[in-house]
Amino acid sequence: MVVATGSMDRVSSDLMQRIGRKDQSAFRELYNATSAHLFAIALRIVRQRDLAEDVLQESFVSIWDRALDYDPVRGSVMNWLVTIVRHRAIDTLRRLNVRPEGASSGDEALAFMASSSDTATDRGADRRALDRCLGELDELPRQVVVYAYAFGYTHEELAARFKTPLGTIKSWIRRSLDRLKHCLDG
Amino acid sequence: MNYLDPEKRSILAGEYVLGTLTPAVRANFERAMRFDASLARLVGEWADRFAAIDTTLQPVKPPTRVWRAIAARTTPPTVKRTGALRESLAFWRGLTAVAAGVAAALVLVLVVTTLGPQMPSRVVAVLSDKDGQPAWIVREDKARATLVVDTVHGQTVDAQHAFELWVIADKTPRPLGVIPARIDSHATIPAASVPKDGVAFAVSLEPPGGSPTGLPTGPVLYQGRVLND
Repeated sequence: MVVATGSMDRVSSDLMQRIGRKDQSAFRELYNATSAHLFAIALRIVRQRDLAEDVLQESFVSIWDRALDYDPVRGSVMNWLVTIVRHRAIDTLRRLNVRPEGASSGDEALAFMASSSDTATDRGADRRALDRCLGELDELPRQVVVYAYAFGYTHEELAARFKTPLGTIKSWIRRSLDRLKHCLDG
Repeated sequence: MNYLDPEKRSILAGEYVLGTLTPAVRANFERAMRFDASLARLVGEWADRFAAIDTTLQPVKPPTRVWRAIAARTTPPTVKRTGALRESLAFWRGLTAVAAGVAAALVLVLVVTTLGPQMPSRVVAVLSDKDGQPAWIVREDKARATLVVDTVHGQTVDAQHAFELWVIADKTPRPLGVIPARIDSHATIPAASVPKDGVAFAVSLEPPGGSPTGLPTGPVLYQGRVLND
């Protein structure tokens, strides 16, 4: 990832203050630094470029209005932005009530799952730690968590995709989150 | 939703970041997070944990029309101000939707205020959140020619923000100043500084000294129409 470096995070926290004061050049700077990563995240969920463009536009308008809501306690600026974009993308799919068929989402998911278990060294310590902890989950709960995060699947979609009752999906997610937290913190 | 159990709080924050909460539960969670820094911290921790999944994602440059559309909707400042005003007015026009909740709250409020030691005072408005939960009461103290603003159950706000009260008259919000969030404190406003034709009050989230522009710059969190005698 090109944007979430330590220096970008330091700049961004200050940028958010300036954006909160309606500094348009700061806003442009933030867009230039983050939009390619955020667009990729929106695309991964909504699958279609026109939908992803709308998601990005709505997200940035909301960021402009809500910049003062950003609090460093909420994690890095980048990850705050990612949460805004992901929620917007998930809401878009909920409104459409249908998941658009994009280019081989299943294949990409499988490739992603496969990549989770290899030990490539160029992914950074955070990724390796998450991979290790995801690897400690059972196969299906792990896929459920990854599908929810990467592709924005709802409980209902997960239940359909994994042919598993809704209640089981929910308890898998809760238990997986609990195990991930203890694994990553421990 | 239980926001008190530490384990449940963390799991809920994880589900919030994951995006699996229903829109209604997510909205409730965001409201709780606004006044609960430790909940916000849990969210930050989860966002940082899951961000590791995105480290192998290839960036995709969006077409330039996306920025053009964003820029058109966010600048210049003069356009932004009318935009914010229109948005706020749309929000305030939603007042009727919460009128029933306000009426219910008013019964309680009248009991509370008449039991208080102060001079009998008339409730001018009850300001509620988007769910119709009453949060602020504006009373008129005729003897002192003031409006008194009380918080119903106390609010918390971080050091970077303050609550600012507005009166809407002639379709325009007029600032009435920053109001204290603590339950043991209240704001007193000279009645003469409040337009007689005010139709509603609202509270927005602003920088510590209040809005620098004279118009709301942060989200309008509470609102209530002026109640007639």
